[in-house]
Amino acid sequence: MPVRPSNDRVNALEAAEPDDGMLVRLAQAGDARAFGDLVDRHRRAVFRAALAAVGSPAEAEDVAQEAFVTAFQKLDTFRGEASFKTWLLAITWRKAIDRRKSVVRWMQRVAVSRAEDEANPVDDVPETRRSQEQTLMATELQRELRRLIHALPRKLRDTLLLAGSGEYSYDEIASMLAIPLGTVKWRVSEARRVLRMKLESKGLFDVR
Amino acid sequence: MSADLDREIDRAVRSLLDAEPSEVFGARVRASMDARRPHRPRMASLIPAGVGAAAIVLAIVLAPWGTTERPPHLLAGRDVQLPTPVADVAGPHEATVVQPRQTTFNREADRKRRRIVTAASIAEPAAAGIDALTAPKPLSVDTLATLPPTPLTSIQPAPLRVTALDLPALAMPSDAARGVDR
Repeated sequence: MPVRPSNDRVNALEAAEPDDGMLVRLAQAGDARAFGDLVDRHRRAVFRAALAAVGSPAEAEDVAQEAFVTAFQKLDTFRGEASFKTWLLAITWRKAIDRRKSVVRWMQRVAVSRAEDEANPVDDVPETRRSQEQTLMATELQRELRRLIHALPRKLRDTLLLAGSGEYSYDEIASMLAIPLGTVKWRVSEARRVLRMKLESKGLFDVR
Repeated sequence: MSADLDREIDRAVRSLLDAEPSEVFGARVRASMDARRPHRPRMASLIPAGVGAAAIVLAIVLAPWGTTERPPHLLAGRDVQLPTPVADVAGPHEATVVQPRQTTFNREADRKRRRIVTAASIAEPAAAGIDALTAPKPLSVDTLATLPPTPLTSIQPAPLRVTALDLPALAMPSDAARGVDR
């Protein structure tokens, strides 16, 4: 029996905070405003997942937009086997990887990130009471860390960025990347180990 | 120290992802949604792709332009003119059968086909002046030449009806050698 958007919409609005499942059902019944609520709710998570993959905020926004539109068009195929957020993030990740495969875009991104790295030392000096030396060391460490993260193998970097963003659970990351949960944990741990080792070899950090 | 480094790594990761979608992001998405709203009802999504592909192939095979020889079962019961003209008669028992246009898709002129025509092929032999019992099988050229445009039940030869009188002629030598009395 078809869902009646108007009544359900009223019911949903009466509730304090309609969950994703209710909004999805409304959207599937043709309520575009319900999908708009889902966009507002997940825009940040989708954007950051795209950003973790493509590296550029402008491109990440394009990817996030494509992901939302694709999700809207394929909403009828969503069966609720996973959460809507997980399903949406999986779409986002596929879109982002497709975007990343473009060589031209990749070259542009590398050029931008290098320029950003070079501009960082002055921009990133925080207003703190630490000594000038400490501040410069911390800034240098952060700059080097960002460079090393960029240089990580892609699988380790993707997983570390997604995990470190604080936006997603490990389960969500596993679904997004289509890998087992244990592999997510291993990749995060391995990424940190590689970063530690490289910082140590550069004398920027001593873990002992 | 290791915990400090982990904090530094977390800080670096957050700084790499320290960006927000623009203020107009939601409006952009909504505009794109309006532009690419899915069609309803979505019957196409209910039909498996294989069924659709098979239907397309079948339509092409059965279409007039997809065949040079239309399967007989599609011709049965249709009005077919014969003979046209007698000069086209190729053999003692063959006539040129004009296959009329059968679908609105066929823009070509009616095609001529040679078929053996028997009395059983004619829908109403009496109306065509043919005695189905005595007429030769297949019909002779002379008979065909006198026929007006006549509806046919089929342009395929009718099955040979074996009568008791035909049996001696059809008896195999081995039957005769074994003394089978028919």
